[in-house]
This record gives sequence, structure tokens and C-alpha cells, in this order.
Amino acid sequence: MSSLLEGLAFQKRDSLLHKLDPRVKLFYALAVMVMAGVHNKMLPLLVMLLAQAPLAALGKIVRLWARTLKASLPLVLLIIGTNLFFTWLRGSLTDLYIVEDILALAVRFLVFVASFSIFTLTTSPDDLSLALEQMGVPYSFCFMFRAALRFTPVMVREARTTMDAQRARGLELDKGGPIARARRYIPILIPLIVNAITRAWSMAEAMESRAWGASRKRTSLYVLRLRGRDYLAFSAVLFSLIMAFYAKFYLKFPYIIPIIRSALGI
Amino acid sequence: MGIIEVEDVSFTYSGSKRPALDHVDLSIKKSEFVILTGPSGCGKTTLCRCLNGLVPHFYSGDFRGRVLVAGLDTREHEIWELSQHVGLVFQNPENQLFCLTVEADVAFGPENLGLPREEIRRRVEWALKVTGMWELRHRPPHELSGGQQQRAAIAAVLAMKPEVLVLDEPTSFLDPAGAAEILSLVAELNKRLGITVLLVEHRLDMTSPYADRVVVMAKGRIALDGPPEEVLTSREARELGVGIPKVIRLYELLAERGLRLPEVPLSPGQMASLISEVVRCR
Repeated sequence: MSSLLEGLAFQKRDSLLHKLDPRVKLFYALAVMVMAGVHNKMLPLLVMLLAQAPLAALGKIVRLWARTLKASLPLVLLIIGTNLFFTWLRGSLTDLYIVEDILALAVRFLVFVASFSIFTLTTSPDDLSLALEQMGVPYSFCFMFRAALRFTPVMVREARTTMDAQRARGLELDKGGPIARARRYIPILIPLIVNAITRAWSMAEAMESRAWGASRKRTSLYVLRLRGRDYLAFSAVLFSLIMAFYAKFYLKFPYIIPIIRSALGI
Repeated sequence: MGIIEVEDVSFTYSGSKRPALDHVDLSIKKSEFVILTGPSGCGKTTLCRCLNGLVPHFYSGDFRGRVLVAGLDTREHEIWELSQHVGLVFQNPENQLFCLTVEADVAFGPENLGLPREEIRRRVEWALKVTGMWELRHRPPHELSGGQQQRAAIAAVLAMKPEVLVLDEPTSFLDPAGAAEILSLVAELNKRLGITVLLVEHRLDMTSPYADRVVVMAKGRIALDGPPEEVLTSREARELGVGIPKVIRLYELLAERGLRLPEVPLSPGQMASLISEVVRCR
């Protein structure tokens, strides 16, 4: 879980992807989601997944990206497991082609994770909130989002401190059955929630003291402007999107199992 | 008339029985450096909140009397108007920085005011330079030291161009080096730019050399108000548990033993020169 969160955490780096306009990257993540959504065969989905690896390299985030994908494996296994189970329950688990279709669903999920983590890993939350702002999302919503990201690490640190403090008082967190264990987390949650509320108060106080809500027309110091490379990237994504639809309606994809079989000679 | 006039102010938070402020009178002149001190829970923070309108606009309760800030009655003007005259810096720097870079944080106030972009850029640059944060402007707050974070918070408040800076225990989360960093910055802003300062502080060792006046509060009232040499040598101050600077204790102990210095020293350096003067005369 923690490494999945880590995968979403932005780190400042100098790369072409980091420099792209956040709106273009958001469009990319959404376009990939649509592309993966319309396809349900293994071959195109696998292509979509692998085609993102060079992009991760371009953004200099290969290791973080791979770690995010790895962290999503339990969910992938869950998807495969439940699908296999229910297909088997219905008695339609008859051949390997069905297994391939089920695996394709898992790959589709990986494609989602891959594209969104490329987006979040190369876009600073400030930029993202600016993009949302310029797309007409109300500022208070953007601020909420930004503050949530800003204070996540603070809250995590606070949770650790509270856990240590309660352990020092003799609280045993990893003992007993699941219900007993969950109950032991109450003495951690309550101080954490109380602290969060206190923090919210002092934040609100500081915001008020800096003219929060003073003017209906808030100015923003930063302005996002689309440059040549943004238009280029946008066109490339749009082109892939059109190609994906074309492929869906006009191409027929073979199963990859026979290909693997003949390659291995079985 | 002073830039801040607190006239017979009493305030009780809603839900509380005891008044947090009890008939408080305080007048602060332009460019003055005033230290506000006193035991915890004596109403220092509430008084600070009165100065930019957080009381009575943000904290509700029973408010009596009148506070004038640059001639504006705080009951009739919104917090955002008052905050362009009085900048409030809080204890915990972490909760005052909401953005992911220092620069964005400093821009937050002027952006809220809806100022033209050029003006925002000018103010941000000025505030960052004046606080020595220009080089660190692209850094996220959580990567900074406590002293740097608090400096960023001061820059963020300065970008609102206030005439008065009110700092509520700005050093209590900082180590000694960070505290010294902040206090000398505040002293410089006061001396060089003529910004009026009200500093709530317990560490009087470090701060009293800068102060024109020390105000001591107790139980919601102003107990003592005067020049540091006077207030800090008074018996009442000691009885109220004010953190009397060590040089002043030393001055008093020397006096008890018959060595009377011509002045009350506020810093070790001043004390050293006073002592050597006296010794040379003998």
C-alpha cells in the first residue's frame, strides 16, 4: 500500500514529460483509459502496456513507474482470481482462449495504472491544480486537492508518531484476530482525527489571515501556456486514440496463445 | 493616535465562561517593537487574533470595546481588508504553508486579493528577497528547516504589504539557531523597513535587546507595560513567572553585592561593556 502511494507521489525531475503542459498529460491519461476501455483482447492491450515503457523512460521515472505497477499486482491477482472463479462456477472455463481473455482484463487494469502513474509521476500537484483551475474548476476545489496532497506526508508522519506513542504505553497492534486487531487501532485513530481537526482550524486561521475569499476574481501568478511541444504531444495522443478506434472496428486481433504455442513447438 | 489602538476590549469565546480578554487597553505607535509575554493561557493569542479581525469575525463570542487598526474598526471591516494592514504569523510554520513551493505560498495572499499579475510578481520577489528566501523559492516547504519554513511564512505575510507584523510565538517550534534566525530577521524588518512589530515570545534573553517596550499579560489583563529595563526588573514580572533574561538576573545579583551598574543591561555584550567601565573607574 505504501509503495502504491509512493508511486503516486510526484518528484521533481528534469525531463520532457515533466515540462509538458499538465492538460496534455491529463488528456493522455484519459485517452489511454478510453483506448483500453474499448479493447478487450490481449494483443492490443499488451501493446498499449508495453508502448508506455518508452514514455516512462522519456520521463526518467522507469523505476518509480515499475514500482507502482508492482504494487498493483495484488489487485491484478484479485481480478484474475475472481474472474477465473466465476467463469469456472458458470462452467464456461472450457479452454485456454477464455483464460487469455481473463488475463487481458488484468492487463487492461495495468494499462490504467500505467498511464495514470505516468501522469501523476511527472505532474506536480501545483501544476495539476493550476490546470484544473484554468479548465474552469472552482478554486476552492483545486485548493482542497492541493492541500490534501501537501498534508498527506504530514499525516503519515503523525500516524507513525501516534503508533509509537501508543506502543510505548503497551498497546500491541499485531496481536489477535482481525476484529481484535481492528479494535486496537481505535486509540490510534482518535488522536489522529483530533489532531487533523486542530490542524484544519489553524490552517483555516492562516488562510483567513491571508485574504482567503477576498475577491471573486482571484488572480493566479502562474499561467499555463500551450507550446509547440504540447500541440505535438496532443496530436500524437489524438492520433493514437483515432487509431485505437479504427483498430477496434476494422481489425481483428488473433489470440496470442497459438502464437506462443507454435513458437515453443508444443 | 497609534497604528493599533485597543480600547477597553473584553472577549469571551462562545462556549466558555471565563473571559479570555478582560478590559484590555493597548496602544502601539508606528515602527515600535513591542514584546508581549505572560504565562500560557493569559490571553496573548486572543489579543493577536483581535488585531486582524479573526476575533470577532472567525472566532465568535461576546466582544466588547473597540480595536482600531490603521484607523479601521475591526468590527466593521473584514479580515481580508485588515490583513493588508496587520500580518499575523503563527506558531507552527507547517500549518501556514499550503502550497508545494515557497514561491506559490508567498503568492497565495496577493492572488486571493485579485491583484494584477505584475503586481503579484513584484510583491513576491520583494518579500522573498527581504526574508532571504529568494534562493529557496522553488523548494517545497517540507524540505526546509524549521527556521526557513518560518521565514517563508513571514514572507507570505509580508507579500500582503502590512504596516504591522504580529508574530504569535514564532520560535516555539524552532531550535535555538532557527529561533535566532527568525528574531534577527524580525528585528531587521523593524529597523530597516520601519514595520511595526508585536512579538509574542517567552525567550526574552534573545528578544529584549530589540524591544522598545515589553507588555506582560496575566489572566486576560495587561499587568505591566513599559520599557524592557523597567518591566523586567520589576518584582511583579518575577512573580508572574516572566522569563527574566539572565543578564538582568546577573545585574540584580551584582547590585545585591554592592556592584551597581549605571544602566540595566539587556544583552551580554552590553553587560560586558558596563562591567568593564565600572571596573576601570575603580
